[in-house]
Amino acid sequence: MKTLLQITKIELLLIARSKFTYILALVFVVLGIKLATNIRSFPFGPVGIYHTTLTWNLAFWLILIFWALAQALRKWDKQVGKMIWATVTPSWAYIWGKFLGVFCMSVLFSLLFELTAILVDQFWTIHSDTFLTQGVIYPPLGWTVFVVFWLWFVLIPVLFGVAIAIASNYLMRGGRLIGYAVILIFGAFGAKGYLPSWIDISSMRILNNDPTEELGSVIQKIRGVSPHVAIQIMDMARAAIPPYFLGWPFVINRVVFFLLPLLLLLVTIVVVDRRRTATGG
Amino acid sequence: MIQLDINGVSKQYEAKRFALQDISLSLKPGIIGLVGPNGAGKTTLLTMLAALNRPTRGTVTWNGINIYKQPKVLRAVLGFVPQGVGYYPQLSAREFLRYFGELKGVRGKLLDERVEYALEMVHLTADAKRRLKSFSGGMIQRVGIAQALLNDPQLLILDEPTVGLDPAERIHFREVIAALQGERLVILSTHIITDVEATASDLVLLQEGKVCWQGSVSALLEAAAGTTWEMQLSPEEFERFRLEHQVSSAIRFGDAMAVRVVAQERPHAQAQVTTASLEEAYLAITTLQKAGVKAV
Repeated sequence: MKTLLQITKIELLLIARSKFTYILALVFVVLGIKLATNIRSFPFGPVGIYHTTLTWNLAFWLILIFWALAQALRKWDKQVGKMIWATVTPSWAYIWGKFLGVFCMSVLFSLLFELTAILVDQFWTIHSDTFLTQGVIYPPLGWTVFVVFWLWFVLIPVLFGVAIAIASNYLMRGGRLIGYAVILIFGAFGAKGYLPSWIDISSMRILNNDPTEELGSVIQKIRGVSPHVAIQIMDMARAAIPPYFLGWPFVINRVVFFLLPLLLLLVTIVVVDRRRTATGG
Repeated sequence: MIQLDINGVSKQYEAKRFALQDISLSLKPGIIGLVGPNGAGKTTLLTMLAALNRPTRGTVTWNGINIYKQPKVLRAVLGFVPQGVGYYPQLSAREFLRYFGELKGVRGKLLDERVEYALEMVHLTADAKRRLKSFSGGMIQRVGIAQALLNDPQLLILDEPTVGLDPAERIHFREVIAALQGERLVILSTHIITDVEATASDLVLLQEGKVCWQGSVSALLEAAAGTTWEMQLSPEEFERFRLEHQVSSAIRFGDAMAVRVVAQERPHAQAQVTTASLEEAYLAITTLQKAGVKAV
């Protein structure tokens, strides 16, 4: 267990000491700002809250997992790996340690993304357009909405994406390219609604069941929203969270994407352990 | 008494391509120089001895235990420096060594002591806080050796550890290896014979996947006696001569060339037999055996 924690710690240290980590953090801050301001600045923003949030979540997820694919097996990891496989470190500890390191950092990134959105939602009161934002129309949505979204729509996709990053890098040669392809297929096909709801990691398909979608098209036609109406619309949006209309297909979806990463990691550990004495990992 | 036995080991990559063929050796404590030209199969053999590569045929045992069936037994006492040491550029030398110490199961105060000892052994104590990205190739190589020492290994495998080192670093490396002598087996592969000349107790010469010679340094010199010749040639004559003979050195003195040659028969009327250096003895064994000369 101590070895596992040490590997996780070193992974986090390596990530923290990379300049790219801070550039990426900035990108996620911008995404968080866009998420919060899009909800409060467009006339149909709050009622299309699922659409807006899932779109920005998908953008966040794609960027994050592309980064995770690069972190899972860095260019110098293979050479260091030869030295690690010659030690008493169990294969499971190394794979789990790497996974936990990248996963913990990914969760931190997702928290940064959500926290930015919550802060911007709470304190952003500018009524005119700026470089990054449009003028505010609606009152704050409230932090609970973002927390619920994070729990339902961010954590599980991050878990799945990081597991794909680890598994594809370690299971096959040139695996990173396969990892990119898998993530793009899941992301793009899901966003377009081509995947059945139980394997749609983007959750975009559930928008078909969103009762506020129709209202959204009506609101789009309104050019000016009075403060009184704005508050009512905001209350409606809040009431639609948590997503009562998602139903069993969504629950099954989350269970599948919770179990699939565990299975992928298990297979990776078994394969890497066998390969360790056959070809040096 | 520790013992590493290699029993009829072969490694076949394709139908008719053998990286190693029927290698059998019994190795006891000491420094073993595994010498051979590039592509001789040295790295394949060393990764097998580190239980990182399984032979197609044959077995390797460590104190009687099959290392492929129980690799943990070997890993607990193994120090391995692969060809081209891997490192994390963002870590300092001390952080990197502490990490490897943990991976080798060394903990607490012992870990602190072992890390400092390893840094001292490779003369890196003063640079221990510097990030590895600022290290030269030679310093990285020394970090690689230091990580291999952390668990006080009984079996130390070093694959081409002197590649990329400048002359001063090579000399320092030899000092480090010499200091490691004791109740442990050190296997050091190289294609540069002078790397092991001063340190190895025994040599194993590998050629085209086969052991072509095994024994002590002095035995190798004895085996190659009468195969090294010296003479003086004009530059023009030397140009013709070198195309047909295995020249080991040629130094120009004014209008003449002082030439040393490895050959089974007298290569030139003026040639006088001379004492072979270790490098020439190695050349004699490998090139003359390859040419089918059995007497060597």
